[in-house]
Formats: sequence, structure tokens, C-alpha cells
Amino acid sequence: MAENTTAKSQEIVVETRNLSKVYLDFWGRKKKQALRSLNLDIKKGEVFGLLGPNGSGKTTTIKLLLGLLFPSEGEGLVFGKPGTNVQKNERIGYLPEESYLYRFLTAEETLDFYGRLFNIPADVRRQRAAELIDKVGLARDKKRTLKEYSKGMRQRIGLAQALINDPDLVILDEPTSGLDPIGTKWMKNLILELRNQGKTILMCSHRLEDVQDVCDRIAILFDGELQELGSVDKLLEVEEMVQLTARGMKITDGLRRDLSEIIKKHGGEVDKLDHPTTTLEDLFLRIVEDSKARPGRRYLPPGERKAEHQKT
Amino acid sequence: MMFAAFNVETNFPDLQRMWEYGELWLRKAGIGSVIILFIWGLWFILKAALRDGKWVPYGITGRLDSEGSGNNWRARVFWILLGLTGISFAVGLAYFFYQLFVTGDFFDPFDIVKKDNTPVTLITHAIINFFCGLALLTLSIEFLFDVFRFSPRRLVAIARFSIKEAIRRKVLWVFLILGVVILFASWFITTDKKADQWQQYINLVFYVVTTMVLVTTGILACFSLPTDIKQQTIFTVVTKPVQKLEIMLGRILGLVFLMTLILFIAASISLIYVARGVDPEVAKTIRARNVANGALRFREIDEQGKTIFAERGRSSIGRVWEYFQYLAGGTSQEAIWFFPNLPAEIARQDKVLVESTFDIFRTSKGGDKVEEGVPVQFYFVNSKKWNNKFEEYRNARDPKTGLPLTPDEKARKFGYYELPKPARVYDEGEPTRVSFPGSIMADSPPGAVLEVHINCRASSQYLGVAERNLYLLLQEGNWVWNFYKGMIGVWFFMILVVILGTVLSTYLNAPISLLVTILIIILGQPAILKYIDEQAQPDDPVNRPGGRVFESAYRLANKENMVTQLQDSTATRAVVALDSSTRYFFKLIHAALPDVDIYDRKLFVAEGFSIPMNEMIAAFLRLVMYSFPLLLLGYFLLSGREIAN
Repeated sequence: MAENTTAKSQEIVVETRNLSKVYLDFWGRKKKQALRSLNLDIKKGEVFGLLGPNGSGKTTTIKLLLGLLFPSEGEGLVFGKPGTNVQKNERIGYLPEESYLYRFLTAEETLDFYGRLFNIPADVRRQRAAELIDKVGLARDKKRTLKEYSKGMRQRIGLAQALINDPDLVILDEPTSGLDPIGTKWMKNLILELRNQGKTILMCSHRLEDVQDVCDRIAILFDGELQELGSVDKLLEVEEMVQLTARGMKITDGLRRDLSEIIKKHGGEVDKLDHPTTTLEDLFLRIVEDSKARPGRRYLPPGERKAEHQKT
Repeated sequence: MMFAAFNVETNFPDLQRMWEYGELWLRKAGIGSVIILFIWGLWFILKAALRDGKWVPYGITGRLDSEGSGNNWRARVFWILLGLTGISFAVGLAYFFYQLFVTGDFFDPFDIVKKDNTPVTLITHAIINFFCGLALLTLSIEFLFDVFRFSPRRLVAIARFSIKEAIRRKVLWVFLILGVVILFASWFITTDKKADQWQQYINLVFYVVTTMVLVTTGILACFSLPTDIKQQTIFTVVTKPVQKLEIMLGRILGLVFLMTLILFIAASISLIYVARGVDPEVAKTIRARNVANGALRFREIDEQGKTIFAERGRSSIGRVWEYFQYLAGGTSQEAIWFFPNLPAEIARQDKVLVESTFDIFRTSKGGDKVEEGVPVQFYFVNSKKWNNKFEEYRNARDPKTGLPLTPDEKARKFGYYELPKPARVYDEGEPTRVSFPGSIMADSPPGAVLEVHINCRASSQYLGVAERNLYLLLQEGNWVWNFYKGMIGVWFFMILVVILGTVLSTYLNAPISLLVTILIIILGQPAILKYIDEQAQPDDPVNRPGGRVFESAYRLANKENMVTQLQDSTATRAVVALDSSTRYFFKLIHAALPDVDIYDRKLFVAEGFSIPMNEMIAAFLRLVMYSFPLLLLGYFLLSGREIAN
């Protein structure tokens, strides 16, 4: 998890009190209990993740906070105001799960339209739209309609529209959905950048590694109920195990023997001793960066790779 | 028969009667509001008692607490208004029962006709209006709160967006069909009678433009919002600081703007097409007559020598179509048109033209030769000057010269003029044209009304008259402008469809919204509206025997015919009472339906009459009055809706 460099305040941005949602059928009969008595506080400046399998109530929680759904019981407050309050939306940026944008608009028109909804003056709107289009890497495609965009590009412009009002709270529903590893990395960096600017971020995802990488605190939901809540560091810590990482040596029998002795002396035992592996994401990103730096780079079988190495 | 006077069965809204319309509208809206508030109150109490136990209402939508618990002055305003409405409703109910049981009168809150001008009557009506206004205000207070929070920039942004959406989704391709229809229009225009060519062209282009504009408008209005909701693109809009009312009104504004532009282009192309298409000879005769229409009444002297005034003629020739009413020839029966508020310049005209068309119903061919027509006498009376001294009128002479006065001088002096000899009305002919000296209205005291009396002189023949079939020709207008005025009627209709479609689509899905919009337009046709209105009238065993649904069913079940007196029993009394009460249901239905026929003015254009401006303003005001409750409905439907559910 990345280190949070911004001092978190005690100001509560999002709070839910016994927030519940029951979906009813036409006759008012209970169809599904999507959320049960959820109690959460999200403080200013933190990145908060909602985790859970499909149907666990993550998106329902977000929709209740945004007034897209009405609570059956309890309340969900954002900046101290209920979800149905329209004025609170001035300070919120929302990226929906799918990029629900108008496909007949171009990227420029999209940002201009949403900027107008925030009553942003024309010159500021134009400047901010240009900056955001640059930031999300769509400067070359800004005149194309969104129906010509790939899913990843739509997700990028979706994020740009969520930031058009320079929001204090950014709500991201599955932000890395549809993004390739480069896009995912870019999105995670952006989330951290936003946090460093002092913004509060509420995101939900079922891509656990994404949540682990960026979130300060998480809530795990299952079947509409809160199962776990706390900081990522604390929740992931395995107290009964100790990990040691060292450089500049090989794993030998001597090393194994010496380490066992020391560990035994302190009352423990060696569970596993091997070389650490990098993540697939890191490997992929390294190869892509390498390919960019060395045009003509290609895969070589181990034998050829050795010969090539000797030649150079 | 080119440009004859024409048969208009629609009661076009009259600007001078707008106060009356307004008062009736307020009563309907107020009573409707009370019913809605009452149903909401019951639902609220039930919900609070059975489900969540919350007793604090935050408005009809429950959204008035959205400022947070510390700042709910809006909810308090709603509470106060609701309390006042409750009290006024209780007072109204007490008055209703007082009238029913003490004075025996059935108090009808929809009855705006004041039986007298005493202070008690006037105050009673004012209080009823106030109560109705209060109920309407209570119902619409949340809507009004949101209206005051409007941002014009956001409204314009949504309007611009909906225009862009309509254009880019290519719905407007429907209009290509218009071009195709116009290309092949000449196939549908038969030119057997050259004189009718103009009417045929006008009817065709109005029919095509109206259909195309309304179909496109209906599709755009009914599909726009539901598509947005279905594709969930609305999520990114409602999560911005946008009120749902702004979303609805923005879309309405955008569509109205776009369709106005399209209608203007379509109208202009149609005008060019018509102007180029008609025969040059016909083109020279195109007119747009500015006329003054009067109110028609009937007068006759009964067997006792008493003068009777009536709104309808007493002679019937047994025709089902009741547009014309008939005067029996050779009797004292007179049809009188009253023309109040005539322009002052009439008094300065030597001759004022009167055009009229009549229907002749012959009971015999003998006596009068058909080709000689039926003699009809015209009298013109200034109500403030004429004193019924016929002897003095006929023998009037100039005091200086001693010579008999000319008809013009007599008209000026006495306020009376009669044709030297009766005019001839022919069975199938040109309209009858007569004239009278404008001096008849000279030096009139204020409030003078011109009366045009006619009397059929041919005994054994009947003369059919209708209110719109006699008029004074004031001046010729510009027919091109008149054509566009006709299109303004289509524009009003288009606005109605935009509002109706958009409001319905806030709750219903797109195809159902379109079907319901079409259904409402069909139910708003004059024949159906008239039937519903008849059902909403008080019982009339003489003209409408047999009762309504329940009494008819009872009679059928008991094999009793329509006119027999029902046996007096508890069952029959219950059936009759139930039957009578259904008229309020029909009243509500009637109030909820639009009168779409008031927007169809092509007949004016086709027959060469200038469309009166005051009627157009009145039609627009009627549109506004009809639209307000619709917008209120749309507001509640959209505000109470979970967009993501």
C-alpha cells in the first residue's frame, strides 16, 4: 500500500447510519435486501475501499450516497447532507461502474456539457477541459465521438468528467474495470495523486490488488452486511509470522542452517526460504517500458538470448 | 364555391372569456389538488403507522429534508400550508352539507356561474377560489421551491444537449418522408374544380406538416428520457448539481426549440409549394378576411304575444347534425347576432359588408321558385340608440328642407337600418352579401352593441343559421401571415405533445408513453370530449333519458325501456344516486383531457379568413393552463423516482 503523505483530518466526509436498502416488487413486497444497517465514517483525505463479491451491496451503497436510490431505513450523509440533496453534488465527482456517457458526444463536448451543469464559467470550463483531456491522455482523440472509443478510453474520459468540477470527494465505482495493466497503473497513480491533493476518495472494486495498492482503509461487504472494517495495513498483517528480506546472497544449506539456529533461539521455526517473486503487473510494465526504450526488441528463447548477450 | 363562409363547430377560446376559463381552471386544479393531498395523506398515515413509524412528512416527495435535519424550513412551510388546506377543506365540506341538508341545494364547486351579484354570492365564490388556490399552492409548493433554485445556464445546457441528441441520433430523418410526400403530393390533389384547388393544397400541406411534426415530436419526447434512464447515462447527470425539474424542463425546452425550427422550415417550404402549385387565377383570389363574429341568439313572439329570447332556435327539422338551427319561414322567429366591442372606424365607413351562408330546408317546392331563392330580411340595430319608433323612423324628414332623410341619415339619427327589400338566399350558391351604413354606430354612447336581425320571409321554408356563418367584413388581411398563423396553431399542438410525452416518460417506459400520448390526443378530439362532457352534465331525463352507466345497466337487467319511470325503491334510489355521482368521474376525466381541436386553424386559412389574434392568445393561455398541472405531475413522478432502480 502506498504511503499517505497527506495528513488526514478528523472531518467526516461520508457517514452512514444504519443505512439499509430493500428492493421491493410492484406490490411493495420485499424482493431483495441489498444492504443491512451499514455504519461507516470516511474521513477527509483518505482513500476508502469498498470490497466484496458481486451483489454484496458496494454499488448500492454508492448509489444511496448519491441519491440514485433512496434508503429504506437509516441515512447516508455526504458532507452532512442526505443523498437526495442536490447542492452537495457541487463537491462530488462520480465515475460510474460502466462509463455511462453519451456516445454521440466528443470528448470535448462531453466535458463542456458536464462543466455547464456545474455552472463553471466558459473560460474556466474550456481551460479545465483541455487540462483534463491532456491528463487522461486523450488529446489526440478529443474530436472523436465516444462511440469510436475503446472501453479503456471511455473509462479515462469518464474519470475526466468526474474531475471537471475539481471535487473534494471522488467516488469511483470499479475504476480499473476495462483497463489494461498500463491503464490500471495509471489509474492507481492518479488516485494516489488525488489523495495527495487532499481529496477524499471512495472506491469500490473486486480487484483486490488494486484496493490493496491504493486504499488506506477498507470495508468488506458480503450479502449486504459489513463483515470487516479497518486500515489495510492492520487487516493484512499476519501477526504470527515474520518476514525478512535480504540482498546480495544465494540460498545455500549453510544459510538455511544458520538462520534456523537463530530463529529457533527466538522460539520460532523457518517456514519457507526462497527468492521473492515480482508481481505479474511489475513484470508486464517493465517489459512494456523496455520495448518502448529499445525499438525492435522481441522475445528470444533462452539459448538465443545467451548468444545475443555474448554478441553484445 | 370559393371562399364561402365556413362551418366551424369548435368553440375557439375567446380572450374576453379567459377570466371565466381561469376561474374554472382554478376550481378544477384546486379540487384535484385536494383529492391528491387527501390520498397522499391516507397513504402517508398508513405507511407511517404500518411500516417505518415516521410521522414527519417532508413534502409529497419526501425530499424536503434534503438540507439536513437542521434546516428544514421548507418542510415547515409545507406543514403550515397543508394545515390551512385541511381547515379550508373542512369548512368547504361543512358548507356542502349545510347547503344539502338545510337549504336543499346541491353545492357544485365546479359551478362558477354566479346566480346574482349580491355581496354574499361574490364573497362565497371568492372564498371557494381562495381555498382552491390554497390547495393548489400546497400541492405545488415543492415544485415552486425548486423553480426558485433554477439555474438558467444548466437549463440551457440540457436544452442544447437534447437538441444535439435529437440531431445526432438521426430521429429527424423522419422528415425526409415529408419531402417525399410533397414531391408526390400532386397525385393526391384532384383538380376537378379549380376553385377548390387552394383548399385542397392547404388541407394537404397542413395535414402532412401537422402529422410529421407531431409524430416526430411524440417519438422524441417519449423516447428521450426513458432511453437516458435505460442506458443509465442519466446517472452522470443526476449526480451533478442538477435538479430533476431542470432535467425535465431542459429537455422540454430543447425539443420545443428544435421542433419550432423544423416547423418553421417545413411551413415555409409548404408555403412556397402551395404558392407555386395553385393555378395563377386561383392565386389571385386568395384572401385572409378580417371579420367580426357575433354571438347568436333567437327571438320570437309566442302565442300570448310575449317576446321570448333563447340560445337555441325552437324549430327542429329533425336533423342529427345540430350545427345549423332553423327559423321557420313566415313567422316572427328571428336570429339575432350581437356584436359588442366593434372597432370605432366602422362608424366612418359608408358601407359595412356582411357576409353570410345559410342552409335552406324546403318543405315544399311550390310557391317560391327554387331559382329565385328564399327571401330573408336583414335589420341592423344600434342597441343604445334605437327606440323602436318605426313610424317616426319611416316618416323622418329633414327639418330644414322637409325632404325625406336618406337611409344613411336615418341610420345615424335612429341607430336603425333595414334592407330596402329582402335579400335572396339560394340553395347552393355564393354567400349572401348585404351591407349597412356604418353611420348606424356613429355618436354611440359607450357599450353600444350592433345587432343584426334576420327573419325568413318564405312561409313553408326553413332557414338554417349558425353563429359563425354571419360576420362583418372589417378588412382584408395578408394571407401569407395568415398561413403562418395557422402554423402557429400546429406549434401550440406540438408544444402540448412535447410536454405530454416528456411528462409521461418520467414514469412510463418509452413505447407506453407514446401509446398513452396518442390515446390522450385521441380522447381530446371534439366528438369524444363532447361525449364525456355530456356524461359530466347534471341528469336530464328529457334530453338524455335512461341515465348513465349504472341506471342503464339496471334498466337493461330489469327489461325497462329508457323513458319509463323507475319504481321508487331503495334499490332504484341507490342506483340513481350512484349513477348521478359518476358525472364527477367524467368531470375529472374531462378536466384531464386537452381540447386539441382549438389548435387546428387550417379551415380559416383554407376558407380565406384571417385567424383572430385574440383567439390565438386565448388558445396559448389555455395551453399554459393545461401544461402547469402536467409539469407538476412530471415533477412528482421524476422526483419520487429512484433513477437507479
